Amino acid sequence: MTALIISQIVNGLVLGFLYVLIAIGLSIIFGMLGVVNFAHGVLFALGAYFALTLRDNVGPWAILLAPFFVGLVGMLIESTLLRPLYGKEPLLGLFMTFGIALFIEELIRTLWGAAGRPFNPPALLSGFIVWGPILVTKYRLFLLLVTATILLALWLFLQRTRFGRIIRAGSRDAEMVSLLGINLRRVFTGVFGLGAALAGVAGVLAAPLWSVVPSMAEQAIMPAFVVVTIGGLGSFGGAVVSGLLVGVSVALTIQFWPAASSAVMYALMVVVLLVRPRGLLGESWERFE
Amino acid sequence: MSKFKPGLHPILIAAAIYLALPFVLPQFGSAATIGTEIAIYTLYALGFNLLLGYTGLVSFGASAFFGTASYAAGLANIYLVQNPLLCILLATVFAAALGLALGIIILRRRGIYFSLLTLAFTQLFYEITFKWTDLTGGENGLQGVTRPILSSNLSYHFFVVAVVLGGMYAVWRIVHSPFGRVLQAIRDNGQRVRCLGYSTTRYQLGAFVLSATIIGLAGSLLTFLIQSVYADNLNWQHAGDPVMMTILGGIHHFLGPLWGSMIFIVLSDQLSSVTEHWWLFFGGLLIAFLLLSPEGLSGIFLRAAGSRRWTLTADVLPPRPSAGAAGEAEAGTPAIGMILAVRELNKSFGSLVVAENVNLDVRAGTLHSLIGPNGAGKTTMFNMLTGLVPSDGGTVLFAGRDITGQPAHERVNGGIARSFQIVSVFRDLTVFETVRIAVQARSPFRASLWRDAYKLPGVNDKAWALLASVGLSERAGEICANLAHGEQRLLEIAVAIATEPKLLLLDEPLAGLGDAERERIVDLVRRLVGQHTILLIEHDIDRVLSLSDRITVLHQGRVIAEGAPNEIVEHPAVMEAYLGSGRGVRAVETAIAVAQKAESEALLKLEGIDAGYGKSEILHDLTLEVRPGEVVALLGRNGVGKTTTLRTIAGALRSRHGRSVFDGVNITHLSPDRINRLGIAMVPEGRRIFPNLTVSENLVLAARDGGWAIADVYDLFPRLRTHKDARGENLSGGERQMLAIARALMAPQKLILLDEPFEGLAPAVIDEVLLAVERLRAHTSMLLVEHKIDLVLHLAERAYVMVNGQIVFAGASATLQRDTELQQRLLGVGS
Repeated sequence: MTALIISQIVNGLVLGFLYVLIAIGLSIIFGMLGVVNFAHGVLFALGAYFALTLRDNVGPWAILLAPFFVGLVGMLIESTLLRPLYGKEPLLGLFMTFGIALFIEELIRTLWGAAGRPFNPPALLSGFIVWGPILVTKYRLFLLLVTATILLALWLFLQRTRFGRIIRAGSRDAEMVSLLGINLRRVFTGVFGLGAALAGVAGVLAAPLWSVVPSMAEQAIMPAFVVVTIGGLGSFGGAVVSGLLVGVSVALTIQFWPAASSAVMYALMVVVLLVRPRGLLGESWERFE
Repeated sequence: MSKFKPGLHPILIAAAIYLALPFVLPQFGSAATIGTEIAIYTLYALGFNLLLGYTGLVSFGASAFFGTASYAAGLANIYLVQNPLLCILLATVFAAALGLALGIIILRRRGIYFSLLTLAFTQLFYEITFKWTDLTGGENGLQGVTRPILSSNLSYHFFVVAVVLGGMYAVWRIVHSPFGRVLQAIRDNGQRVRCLGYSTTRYQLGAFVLSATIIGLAGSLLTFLIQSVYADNLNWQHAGDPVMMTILGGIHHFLGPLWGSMIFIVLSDQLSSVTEHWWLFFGGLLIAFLLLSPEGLSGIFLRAAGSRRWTLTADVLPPRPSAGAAGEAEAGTPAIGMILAVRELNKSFGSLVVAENVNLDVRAGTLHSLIGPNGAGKTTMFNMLTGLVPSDGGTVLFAGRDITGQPAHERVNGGIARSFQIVSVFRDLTVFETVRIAVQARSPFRASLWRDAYKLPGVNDKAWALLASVGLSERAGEICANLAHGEQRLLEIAVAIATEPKLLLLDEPLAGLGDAERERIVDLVRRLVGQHTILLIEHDIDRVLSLSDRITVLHQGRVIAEGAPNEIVEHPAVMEAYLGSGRGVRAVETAIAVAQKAESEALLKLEGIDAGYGKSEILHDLTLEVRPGEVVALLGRNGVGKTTTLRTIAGALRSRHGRSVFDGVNITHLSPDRINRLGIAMVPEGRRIFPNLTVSENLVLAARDGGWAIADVYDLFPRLRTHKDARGENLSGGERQMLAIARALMAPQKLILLDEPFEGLAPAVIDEVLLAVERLRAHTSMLLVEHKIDLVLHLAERAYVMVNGQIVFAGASATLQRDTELQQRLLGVGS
């Protein structure tokens, strides 16, 4: 029994890290641009689909190229469709990302078909690892390591690089950043591209776990909202903590009460929103209340 | 019945369309039942838009109510009673109850959190419905719903049309009712509505329940149309259906849902036979509409007809009473004695003390002004008096009663009203409606769902009378957003006196106004005194002196003087507060060579600049210049536009008129980052350092080639070196100021704009900062804004003084320094 629980917790952590990766892009976009990006799920899906197609052509490079292309798509979206709406009614931006999500999901269906496609991990990563009472697939372990590495790299990026500093400063006072000679328009486009690329990476990594199917967009967007809400809007640490929390909760519920496994994260979200709306580690920002 | 502008009542238009649909649609290859679906989805979208377009609440919960009510109707039919009418009734009641239960929980939060909560609940319901296969049939849905009566398609269609038209008519009545009018005001400015004495959460809950009921009705009608129920409708993607219909049709138009549902249903029906990828078209259509016609199809229709106005309600005003019937606002019996007595009021925000043992007595029927050199404190005082902000200690007695702990809306009902510093009216309502809503707050019918708000006894007449008293009768039908700033200020006051207050708090009613408009407001205020007691905050000292019976002067949270205008003018403490004492300030070497500088070409030149925020005018025909190597002071009392000037130079605010040239380049409409790169650095009001970055990160962020080396900056400000790894939010006020100045040095700059750099600093710290600024003189030109002239006149060779957005003095600072009478008049409290 304990072995089962521990295995599930490990699975939960894997799932959790994946959720964190998806959510963090959403949170960064939120923090800097103030936009609720409903299109985040389809960007996730695009990552998987790009990888699928590129794999046939460029082999393992697909894993790096796919998120890059998703980032480009993101930048294109921001500069052509979102930028005209800045300064106008905030609802328009929200509805726009919603419209983009609808459009892209159907585009995926059109270009790649509605049927699910398998995405097998390389032979190197197939199979199981048994470690004492714990049973875990090699791919899941790989996923755990890779996402943790990516998140660490992202954290370092935000803390140590110039662009990272601009993002952190801009999420508190975007106008002051522009008064220091930094072109905000380009920064916004870059940030959206970064968020999109992160979603794309998550999509590539998730592809072998969840089958590549157009509706995978929804499997990503809803947990992303839940994680970001519980962890606190705009908080890196919050997204990590809450992502892991949600991942483990879902994994354990799948084991012991399967019918409720999808519902548990929403119940968690409702409780947090009622008790502490700014989330576990988020700050109280008037613009969201 | 209220008429619609083009002459035809919207319900009639809808009726005509619904009745024609089953006959027209088959011509285009669609089934006749599509017409019934259109009617149902119109009701669905209308219920949704009651929350969005009318109340301003973005809810993703519409599909939850639609889906659960569909299931309720289906389950009732299968297990309870076959009669569809009873099932529909049951399902609708169920939806209403669910709406009430959820609304009570969800409406505890506002804004984005409200929306996210609705999303969470919708998903929760979807998951439950999908997984509870025993009850709901899960993926296969619920089959076997029977329709024993109204079994033919056409008869069911007419039944649905009748119900939908009834529902639409009900919504029409509701949005024209006192209740519905309040919803629309909440959408535009919830806080103002609360300040008028309405309990906004209850109105929002009412809207939520009504919305759920209408949507539930639509859902149950659908069950009997397709005689089955599917969980799909609850999925979050279908949560977007009403959103899409409303946007396509027009959010701010009553018939928007009708056009939206027609587009949605007909197109999806037609396109799905052509291609299975019709969502591409819809997604693209939505995007196109958002960019090109945010008001959807209704927007297109109306623009073709030459109008841009919303059509959420009938666009008519109740008749204006003939002149003489209601000339001025009714005079009540004026109160006598002390109407307001404040004792030992205290308030601090962290370490910032905004009120310290403040005592204030206001005599009924007088105009009492509250002035003071800095900004903080006075508006907070108003906030405490009206109950928006709790005090830390002290008592407030109003008309003899202790109101210290009273909530805001009770104080309004008790007779205190206020106007706001930043105009706070209802952007998208008419002038008449804005005043009427304020008057309605005192009517016993103010929450009525069914009456026509424009027929409430006495309310209209009173509204017209108020408009007449402020001189806005001719503008009654105009949307508030289209008013000139002065008119908006008059409207502000009209709204404040609509609640029949005994005490009227006016917060900077003259801000952002030109001279002529100021006179208009002053006339109004003069007429109001006597019937009302007025407590006034203003920075226009000349007018304050001429209007006031008594003046209280606040400085750093304490009352430093109180008395009649002529007493205040000569009061030494007041002079010192405004002009400084000249003591305890380190004297700078006064060897300042002014003469040579006069020959050189100006580095920065502003000519004829007009600027303001929104409709307000803050700067008028502003002309000034800074020459290379100079330090120029920009002086003036609070509120005259000094910060606005700096922001306009830096590009953070776009000027409407005039030119600014820097180093030979026309910078008038350039973006702030380009202006910075040309060599203008800003040390803004409030410092605005990044609290989540460390000192060194703050500096490095601003660094560019050609700016100071970080080591040199640390030499200038040794304290920053000590704290270089401290986060911005943990620095003291003085350290933040040093950081803000240091940051401006990190990139190459020829001109530094400093906005009140000594504000809020202890004398010892002021010395440090002053020293640093002196050392900078050798390296760069500066334009320095201050209101403490003693600090600045030693530093600056030349000075400008602003009054009400214009330059009234330009010359050597030595001249200003010698002429104390001029100082009094322009900068202190003098006449």
